Amino acid sequence: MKFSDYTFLAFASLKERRGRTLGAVLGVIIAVVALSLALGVGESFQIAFKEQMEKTLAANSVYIFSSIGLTEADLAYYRNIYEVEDVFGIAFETIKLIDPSGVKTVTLVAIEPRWLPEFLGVTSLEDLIEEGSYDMSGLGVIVGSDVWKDPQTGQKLRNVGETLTVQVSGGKAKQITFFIIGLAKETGGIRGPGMNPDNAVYMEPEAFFTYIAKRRVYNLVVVVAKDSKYVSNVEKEVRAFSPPHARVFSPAAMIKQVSIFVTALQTILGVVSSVGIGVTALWVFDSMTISVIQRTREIGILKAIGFKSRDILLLFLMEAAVISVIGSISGVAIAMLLSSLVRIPVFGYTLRATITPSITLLSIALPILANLVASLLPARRAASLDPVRALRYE
Amino acid sequence: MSSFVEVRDVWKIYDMDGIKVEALRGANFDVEKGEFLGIVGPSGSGKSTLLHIIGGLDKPTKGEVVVEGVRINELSDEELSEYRNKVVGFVFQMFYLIPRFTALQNVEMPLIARGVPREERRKRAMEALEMVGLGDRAFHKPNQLSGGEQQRVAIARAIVGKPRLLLADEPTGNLDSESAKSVMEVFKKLNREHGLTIILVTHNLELVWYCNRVIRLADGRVKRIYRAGEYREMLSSMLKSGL
Ligand SMILES: Nc1ncnc2c1ncn2[C@@H]1O[C@H](COP(=O)(O)OP(=O)(O)OP(=O)(O)O)[C@@H](O)[C@H]1O
Ligand SMILES: [Mg+2]
Repeated sequence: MKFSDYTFLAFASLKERRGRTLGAVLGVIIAVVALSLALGVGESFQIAFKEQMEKTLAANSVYIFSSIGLTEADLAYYRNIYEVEDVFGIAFETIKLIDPSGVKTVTLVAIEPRWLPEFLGVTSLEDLIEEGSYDMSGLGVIVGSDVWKDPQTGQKLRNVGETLTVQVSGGKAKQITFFIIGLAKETGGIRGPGMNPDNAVYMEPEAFFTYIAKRRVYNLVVVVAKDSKYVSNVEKEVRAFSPPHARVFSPAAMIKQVSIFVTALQTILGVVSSVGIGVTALWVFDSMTISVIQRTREIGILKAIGFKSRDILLLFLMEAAVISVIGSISGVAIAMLLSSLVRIPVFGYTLRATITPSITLLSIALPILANLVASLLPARRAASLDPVRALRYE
Repeated sequence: MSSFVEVRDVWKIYDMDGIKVEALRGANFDVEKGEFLGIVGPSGSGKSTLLHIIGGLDKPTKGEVVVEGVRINELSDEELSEYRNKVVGFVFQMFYLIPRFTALQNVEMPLIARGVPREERRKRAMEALEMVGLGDRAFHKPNQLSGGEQQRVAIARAIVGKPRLLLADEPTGNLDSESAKSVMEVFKKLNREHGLTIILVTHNLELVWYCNRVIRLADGRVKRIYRAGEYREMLSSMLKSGL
């Protein structure tokens, strides 16, 4: 028997049992869409998270947080660690913006202008500013996008050159007026270390320590290693030098941990979606078993006119293969279409599923394999039927 | 010289939950090439069983069947399929066409099993249909054909692969006398004009007139073999014994 004849006969019998065939194909499609989207979204989340982390928190840095604050002396210790390229400190203060519309809480961030790109995850200062300048000095500040425009409507609320009056609760001055020198671009995505970088006002540290802060301490210190391969070493040393109230972490380690977590999540999603494929395989098994019984006499006829047992076996396997191939290819096609049209919110990201080649391969191969295994038993039963008995079957 | 078909002491014993049913009890006869052999006998005498064994659909419990010098009960499952496909053609009482296929496709089936390319098998199936007088019904489905036409499609399917032996098990059993006649005329043509060897099992004693020899089977054994001139004698003897 020829391959083309197996497909011809398989199609003919599938066409005759349209309802069952359609049901099985639909089952495969749904299972494949679920599987590839689940894996695809996991993949996207992994990629997006990693990118964001690497952008905002450089992979070769170690971060030290302290609400009490780290002193210049602490920074000097860190600078002395061999393998450390640079160290910079950032101070935070919660302030209240006084607006015609009301009072709004934002974070005042004291940071050297040259470290701003690193802190906000952009490559250069030019990429940072929507309008105005980035040269912060004295009371000239850069405001984050949520401060100068309405986060909902996008309507512009503040302009370069205007003043910004804020209330400082724990600081020296009760009220202070800044000049807006620059409007920062929207950073989007991840909410930086304990704050939202869009809902912030950035100023130069010297002025901050002069006018706002009571003490010259930093809430966040970033230690940049000479190379990302030194990070774990640097992290160890930083821990040794840090005061007990400080919390130390490195993005590299964190990315790794999240990545492990996401992979586990992806595996669980994959396993859950595979249940769908298993259910479809059971359906294929069931429908094949019924089909073999219903077509007992036909099998007898085929054997009587010279079809070999192997031909009958392959004929039934071909039917399962046709169902699975059509189902899984359409399923992957639908999943790809959906992934390009629909964004799915996951932990604060809105993601499109990334259907990688390996996901495609898995989503196509798995149902084909499962359905072939499921139809093996009924197909073998069909192949081993005794022709005389099969012909007599009513 | 050995015969075309040799049936040698063939026994078939069915075991139904310990109860032994002896369908054939040492059947013995030969069939010569080009013969049109009839097999008659009462219901349950083992006619179908015998035909199935000769056609390689079933195996004897004891004894052997030799066709063209080949002991067919020694063939493997795969060789038996080939034997059924190439050496014999079957025609059954119930036609056994596949309802979803057209007459032409049904006739093509033995050639599909053989791996004949599509164009060629179309052509040969069409020729077979024309031979049974159904060239104009090629694209009808079985349920659009009369019983006699369905049976002739089944005959076309049986002969499309050019077998050397045609086995027919009560081929007219489900047909009215008109259709039965048209079917028998096809058998006659195949036998007389194409030299095809035919074994015909029948209940209908009128059909023995088509045969050159008739085997009378009773209780799984050959009771007597009648030559063409002895049919009147056979019929009266069978009527007397009530069969
Ligand atoms: N699969 C089977 N299992 C048990 N007994 C069987 C089986 N097939 C046939 N028999 C028995 O064997 C005997 C011969 O059956 P067979 O079908 O050959 O008879 P037949 O001469 O063709 O009868 P009919 O003229 O009614 O078709 C019968 O008694 C039948 O009951
Ligand atoms: Mg019978």
